[in-house]
Amino acid sequence: MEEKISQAIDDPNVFCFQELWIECQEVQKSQPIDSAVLRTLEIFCRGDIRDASSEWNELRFKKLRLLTLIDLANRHVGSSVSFETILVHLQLDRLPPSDPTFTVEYYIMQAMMNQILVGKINAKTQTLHVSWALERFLDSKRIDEMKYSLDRFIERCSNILFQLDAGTPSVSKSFKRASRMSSSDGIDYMVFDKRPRPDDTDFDL
Amino acid sequence: MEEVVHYFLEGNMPVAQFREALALHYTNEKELFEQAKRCLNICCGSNNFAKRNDVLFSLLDVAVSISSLELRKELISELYVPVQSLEEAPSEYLVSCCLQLATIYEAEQNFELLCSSLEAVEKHGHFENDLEQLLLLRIRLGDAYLKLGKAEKAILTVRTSIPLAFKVSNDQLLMELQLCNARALDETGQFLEAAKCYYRVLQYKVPGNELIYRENLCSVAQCLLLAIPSPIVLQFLQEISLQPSVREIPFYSLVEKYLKRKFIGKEDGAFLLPFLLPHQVIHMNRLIEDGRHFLETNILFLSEFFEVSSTSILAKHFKLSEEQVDTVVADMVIQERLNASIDQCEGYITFLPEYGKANNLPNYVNKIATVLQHYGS
Repeated sequence: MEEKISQAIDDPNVFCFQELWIECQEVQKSQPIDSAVLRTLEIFCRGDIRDASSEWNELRFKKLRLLTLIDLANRHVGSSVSFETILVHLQLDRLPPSDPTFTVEYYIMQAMMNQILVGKINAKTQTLHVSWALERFLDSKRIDEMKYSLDRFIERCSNILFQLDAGTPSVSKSFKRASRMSSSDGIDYMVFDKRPRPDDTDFDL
Repeated sequence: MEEVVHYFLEGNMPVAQFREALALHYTNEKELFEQAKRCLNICCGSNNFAKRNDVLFSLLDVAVSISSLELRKELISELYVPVQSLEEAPSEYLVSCCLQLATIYEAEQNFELLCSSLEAVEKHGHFENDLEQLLLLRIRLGDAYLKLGKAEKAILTVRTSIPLAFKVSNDQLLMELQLCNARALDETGQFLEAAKCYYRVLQYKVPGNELIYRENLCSVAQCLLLAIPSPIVLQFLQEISLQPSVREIPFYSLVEKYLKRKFIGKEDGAFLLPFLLPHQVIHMNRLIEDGRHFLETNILFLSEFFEVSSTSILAKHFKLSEEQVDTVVADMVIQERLNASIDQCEGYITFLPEYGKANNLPNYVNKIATVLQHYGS
């Protein structure tokens, strides 16, 4: 089992250790697992760079930094996180002197290439906008949260559809006449301006 | 033998008897060759067209039975050349002669004469009522042009044939035409177009296609990796990654690198070499020597990660100078393979949404979310 754990930790394509952690809990009932190996697995399963051991090789440090990054990203899904925050959280400020922006970008890009993070880097504002990040550990509490979010979304959709049905006015003659005067592709350019706005403002609903 | 021919041309002998007599009147192939030539001279002077044509077909049958390739070729040529100029020369006979010659030239690997023979078949034949035969001929001709190294002619032949193939709605023929077109485009270095054609071949559900399915999928991937880097190429690779048995492509590890947007380099080009066709190897060696192909691909990868990138840090990632990065990005923008704006004063590159994407349309997702929030609160 110890060998299996080490292989998973050192595999550059494995970033989720929840299943292995659960399996270890089961195996441990019948045969003991080396506590140091188990502790390492626990760190990779739900720990971060602060828990790293000085005895590890560089690859393990890199992987744990990536896992720390996706933990941080998960707290900022749908919003932005600054390079400075990433630098501190990943303890990159403790590394030998180098270009901090380059180092932060390197880790973000590695996470994106490994498909554990989706987002956009803005080097000008020194921020990362997070669209999605891998969740490292899904416990029952988190699954309940997800179910609740989905239920609320469905409920809102049902409400809005019901209210739209109730409040839809009948189509008047004048509306029909106006719609005939609209553009050939069925989009009225008076209402729907396709041109980019100079101030880049969004359209009002 | 000459007397037999005279006797037949005068109408004193039935066709079946004449053919039997013809087959018996020689002892060896060399003698037969000489006699057949003499008979042809007699025959060409006859005004009885129906009888003359019977003699011609009979002589052709005799010629085809000759085992010596050289003698057979010479005799069929003798039977073909003078008859072309005859009044009311039977087109069916001329077509048969040309097809027989084509078979011989193919065996000899004389592709120039093979092409000429097949062109002559199309010239002499009346294919108005048999489009399938015409298409089979065109496929063979396209193939011959490719072997001759005239890929442009092959493309032209196939392009003019595809509308006919849709008329006969024969999937097998359409598939073979597309395959010929793909190979021609591939050989002329039009790799993206070739990939599209190979991909179309995958769509045909015809018997036996299962056998060439993997080979074509492999060809699609090869062409995409050799094509000029662009978002279309990356999208296309994404699409073929959904195909069954894509993981069985021998160089799938490289395809996966593209899918994950992991930086690629000259070593990846070298890794691909053993899986390429000779003309593709030449092209890839040029790409490896130049190195720009890999840089452009990596810039495309980065355009998906970055909204705004610093030119200096981009240069650092690629171990190049800022000027080099600037030049490559500018070229890609000009060629519409990258949608970006370069701020040289501040040293930033802003990657914009892909061309053709409706980036100026209202953001409906946010609007719907706002409405839902309003009603949900």
